[in-house]
Amino acid sequence: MATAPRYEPFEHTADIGIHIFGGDLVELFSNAAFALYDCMVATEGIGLREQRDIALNAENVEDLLHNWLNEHLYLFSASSLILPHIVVHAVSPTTIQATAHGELYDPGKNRLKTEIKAVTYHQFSVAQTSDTWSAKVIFDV
Amino acid sequence: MNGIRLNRLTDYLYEIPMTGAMRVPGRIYASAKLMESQKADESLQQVANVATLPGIVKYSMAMPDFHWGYGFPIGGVAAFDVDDGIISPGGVGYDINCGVRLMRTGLVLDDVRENLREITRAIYRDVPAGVGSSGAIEKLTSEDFRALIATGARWAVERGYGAADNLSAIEDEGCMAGADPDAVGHRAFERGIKQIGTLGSGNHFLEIQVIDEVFLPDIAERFGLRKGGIAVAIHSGSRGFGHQICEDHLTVMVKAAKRYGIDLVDRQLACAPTQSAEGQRYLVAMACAANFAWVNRQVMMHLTERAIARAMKASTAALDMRLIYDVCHNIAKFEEHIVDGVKRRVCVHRKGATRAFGPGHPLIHERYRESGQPVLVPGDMGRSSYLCLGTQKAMEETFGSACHGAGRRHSRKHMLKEMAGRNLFREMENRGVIVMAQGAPSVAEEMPEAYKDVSDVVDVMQSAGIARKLIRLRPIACVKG
Repeated sequence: MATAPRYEPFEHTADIGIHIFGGDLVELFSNAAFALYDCMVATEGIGLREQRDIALNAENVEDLLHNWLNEHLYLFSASSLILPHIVVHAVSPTTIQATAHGELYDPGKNRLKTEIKAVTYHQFSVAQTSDTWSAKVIFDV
Repeated sequence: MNGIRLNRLTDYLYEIPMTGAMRVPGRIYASAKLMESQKADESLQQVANVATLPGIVKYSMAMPDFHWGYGFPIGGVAAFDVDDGIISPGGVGYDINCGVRLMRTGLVLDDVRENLREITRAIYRDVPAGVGSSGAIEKLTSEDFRALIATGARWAVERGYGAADNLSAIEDEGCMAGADPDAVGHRAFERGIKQIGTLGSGNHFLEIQVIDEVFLPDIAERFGLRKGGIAVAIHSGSRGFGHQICEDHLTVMVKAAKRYGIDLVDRQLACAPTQSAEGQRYLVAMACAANFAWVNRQVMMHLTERAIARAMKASTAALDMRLIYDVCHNIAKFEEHIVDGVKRRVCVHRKGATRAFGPGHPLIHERYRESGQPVLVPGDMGRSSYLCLGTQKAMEETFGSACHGAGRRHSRKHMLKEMAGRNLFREMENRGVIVMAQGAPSVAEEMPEAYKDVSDVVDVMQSAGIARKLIRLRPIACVKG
């Protein structure tokens, strides 16, 4: 049986749209952060030299995911950190505590893909079925 | 077509009649060919959605390069009454003051043909892309940065980036008044201080171009533009600084809209009354981002001039590089316009649209007052770009606005699939363009096939009388982030 994808891009004229998948909120949020970095740089071979603790709250799971993605975008943009390896300590629809592990961006080593300008609210959604979670996000590039 | 009713008014103008919650009709400048290519996406619905916002004046408009955006369509123009209208960050865009500047030089194609690769490499090396790299200005302190975002291009000129006479060739002379660094959050500061003087990626570029057609020879001659002449164009915006400011204020505006009783048919139309505290705070932060972008383009212009001179083993004076004009295409401006015979002050939102003031307008420098404001319309990296001029008809019909570029045709996903396995750098060279880019996928996504033909877009503007073509330019080298 094939492994379920962590995320999948979908058609969007100007930017990058992705569907993110997870068996539970831990997986959804881990895969979401991974997807953001993977859209920007090649994440194969990223080690564990850097880490950042992240603690966020929000009124609902959509806002929480939006804040989560923005946090990672800020870490990449302001500090050149690529942190695709996520350890979630606790998560609920309104709160997350996690540690993100990875490396500092190295132009000699890390292959750039596309710079993301923003995590938009366009068609932004988080959905839960009986045994899976999924999210839809469009990045402005 | 998404259930949106469209009336064709002329060969180049369509109207969405006022229905439902729309306060004004929608007006779209497009040819039948361009309209046909819009069937697949939501952009027409977005034009109708913008028309529901309070205080909108006359029409919710779209220029011929319009396509699907966030809340507002890209290519959207909407003016709101300053007293009872709204201000919307989505009507400006994440990349505040993304814009273009065009410099002419005294060089011709033969001067650069032999060492074009070295020249391109010098620019590629000297102008930081900014993705994971540091900014172009060393030892920039927080105080410097605060001054920079408050004063814009003048800050750069005072530090030796370019010359004082550049300012009269920049919209708003490169500084939006009222910029308040205190309205900017610390994350925006952190991102901005790292990225000043950097190009960015995606559809940003730095191009060497050759003028390959002149439509209005007398005016072109006055501007120092001749067929065969080499020009340089820079397309870039406010980088992570502007993006963060937009994000920070969108969050505020979503809550504010609810509090002010503004019904949003789309969350991304989040807005607040222009005269509210939230509206004013966004405006003064937006001005900081606009100023950042002008400093950015000023610094990159200076670095480019030096790189070209060095690669050609010449002095910068020998290049005779001169700034023609610098325009914004993601911005909100307070302007006076005649509406139904009465002078009114409005806040014009241009998102993926360019100011195109007509002849005689007091806000354009006397150098351009007779001809009309220069309007830069970049195309894709394989085909043409245009320099146009604003017209009186633009003042009458579109709040002095015109298109900003080509508009995308295919998604990035589609392009990555189509271009897989192809040597894109070689293909572009076979088409006569040397391309250097930090990220190869960004080249795939930006291949000419991804875009509509900008000539179709500009022809609509010309036929509708909104802008007139001055020169056409062809890229010969393109640097991307």
